[in-house]
Amino acid sequence: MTLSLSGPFILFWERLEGIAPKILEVILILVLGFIFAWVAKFLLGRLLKIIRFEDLCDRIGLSTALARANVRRSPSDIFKLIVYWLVIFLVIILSLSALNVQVVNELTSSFVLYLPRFFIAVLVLIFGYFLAKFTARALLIALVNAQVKSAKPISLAVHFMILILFVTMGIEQLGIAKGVMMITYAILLGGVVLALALAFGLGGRDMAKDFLEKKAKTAEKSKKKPDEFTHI
Amino acid sequence: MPRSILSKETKKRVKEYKNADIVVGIPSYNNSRTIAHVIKAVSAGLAKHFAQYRCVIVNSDGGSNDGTLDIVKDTVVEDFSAILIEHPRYPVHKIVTPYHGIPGKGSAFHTIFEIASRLEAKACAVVDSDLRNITPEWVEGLLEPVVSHGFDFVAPLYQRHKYDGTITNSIVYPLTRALYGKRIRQPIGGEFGISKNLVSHFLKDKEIYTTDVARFGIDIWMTTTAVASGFKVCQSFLGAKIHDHKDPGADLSSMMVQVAGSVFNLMERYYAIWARVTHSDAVPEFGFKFEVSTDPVKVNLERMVEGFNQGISDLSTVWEKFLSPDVLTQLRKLAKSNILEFRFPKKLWVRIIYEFALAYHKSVISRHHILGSLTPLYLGRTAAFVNENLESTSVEVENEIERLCLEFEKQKPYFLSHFEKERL
Repeated sequence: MTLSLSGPFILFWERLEGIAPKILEVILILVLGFIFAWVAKFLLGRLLKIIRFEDLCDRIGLSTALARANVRRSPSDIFKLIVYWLVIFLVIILSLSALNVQVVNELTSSFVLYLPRFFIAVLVLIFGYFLAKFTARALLIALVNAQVKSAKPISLAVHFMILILFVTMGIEQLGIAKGVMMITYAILLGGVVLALALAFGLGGRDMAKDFLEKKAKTAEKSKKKPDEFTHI
Repeated sequence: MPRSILSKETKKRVKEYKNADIVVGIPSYNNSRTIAHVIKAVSAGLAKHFAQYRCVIVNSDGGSNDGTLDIVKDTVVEDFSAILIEHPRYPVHKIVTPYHGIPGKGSAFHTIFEIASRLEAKACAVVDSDLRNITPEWVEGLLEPVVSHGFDFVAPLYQRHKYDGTITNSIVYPLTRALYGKRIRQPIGGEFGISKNLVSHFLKDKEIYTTDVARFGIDIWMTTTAVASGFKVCQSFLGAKIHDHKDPGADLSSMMVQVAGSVFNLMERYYAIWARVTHSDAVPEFGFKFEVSTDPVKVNLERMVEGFNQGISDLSTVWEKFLSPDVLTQLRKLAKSNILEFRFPKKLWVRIIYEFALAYHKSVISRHHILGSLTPLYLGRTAAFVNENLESTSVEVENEIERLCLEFEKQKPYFLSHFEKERL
């Protein structure tokens, strides 16, 4: 009778004994991981100061972009936080894999396999952001120097087109709605062009005619009066 | 061993001549309308003023497709007996060669310097091929100070229309004068006389010919290098300068990027030199100065002011990154004035140029974007200059330019302190 009552306890104890080292391992990995994450964050902070990361962000306009988005943290703080939580996340995954539970293992491996895609997507987005900004600014300056009246809207449109293209590429890389995003983008772009063509061709035929005539006259007028002095 | 920029055929011609005393280089690109006159004037100048020297004319062409090369080859040195006192001892030879590298005047000059160096020429001169009024006396003006007076660099001095050469008058001359302390009135004039030593110096840094120096930047690079490296410089009066007419506004922006970019770039290189300069000195002058009447020129004031106003409305977001808030406020106020009352204070203009130079130095944004965004402001300043000097004589305009130069010199300590702060 005594034996039958104590049986489940013994079984539980035996199982606990079997799993205890693994739990201890998990706790140890977590503690060491948190310490490592904190040290990494601290060292990164020092490194960013040495390489004047804040100045660099000011130059490339990242600080202004963050301020515009009402983000109150500095770019280096954000960078440190990202690295800190990334390390924590990896530590948690590592600690879970130490339990050697099949479901957790499968989840972990699929997540680890997904990580490179995630990083590529982030890189694509960052590259797209800067490319859009650079191209739009170069275009704006060139159009203003050529005295094209709608320089600003044209450069803004190009800015957003490039941004949308890279966001689409990023999402595509993440594997979300594969193909759909690219098709949506193509439809969107085609739609805009078609809408403009229709607007000018049918709806605004007279307006377009007036506009082009006015443009031609202005061009003719400025051709008639070129500057005759040399700049150099 | 670095690859030679001269073609096999050119090297062969150079070897045939062995050496020469004087080389005159003429860079060209589609100048069929004017190049014959330039070659004749140069030949006559050499025959008349340097009869006892062995002279070679080098035409360095950028791939003309309008028959320029044929004209150069066919242009024969005429019988100049009417203008000659002394019969030339040697014939004037001609070398016609294409240049290699980045298309532009700088690459053409590189080839000319290379030939002058191989021929061990004592003196070298370069003249533009689009000149309509070059005379044999220009050759004397550019070469005599080198050949007979020991100067290393001869800059031209012209009588120009009061509105002509506005990049020179509003940026390049005042800025280089304030920086390097030498009053070279036409630092990007296009015609220069150069000594053998300076030619060798110009050939030391081959990499420079792969930058904007290879294009419009060559003139300011030569002048600045000569001054900053301590060579003996002077200027020579050549009279009026009349170019073959081209639409000067067509590539204003790229011209601005290349010229201003070269000036700003040279500031980095010669910081140790210009940081010590506190005032400017006149340089020796050669030639007999005389009054020349220049053709009237048309100026489209409306287009310039429109360009400035558009810059204010569209490029403020770019300028906010490097222009001081008080400068931007003053610029916005200017945009509200009407065309005939449009003015651009000298003090503000000088401050803007220095702040652009600082932004370039710090690379606040892409350097190309910084320089590109200067064009509307330059148009504004030029429009104001035209407005202010509608009734002025050339002497009054020259005085006005002198006042601008003094403003550049006055504000130099502000620029220097900010420049130094960034270097620390």
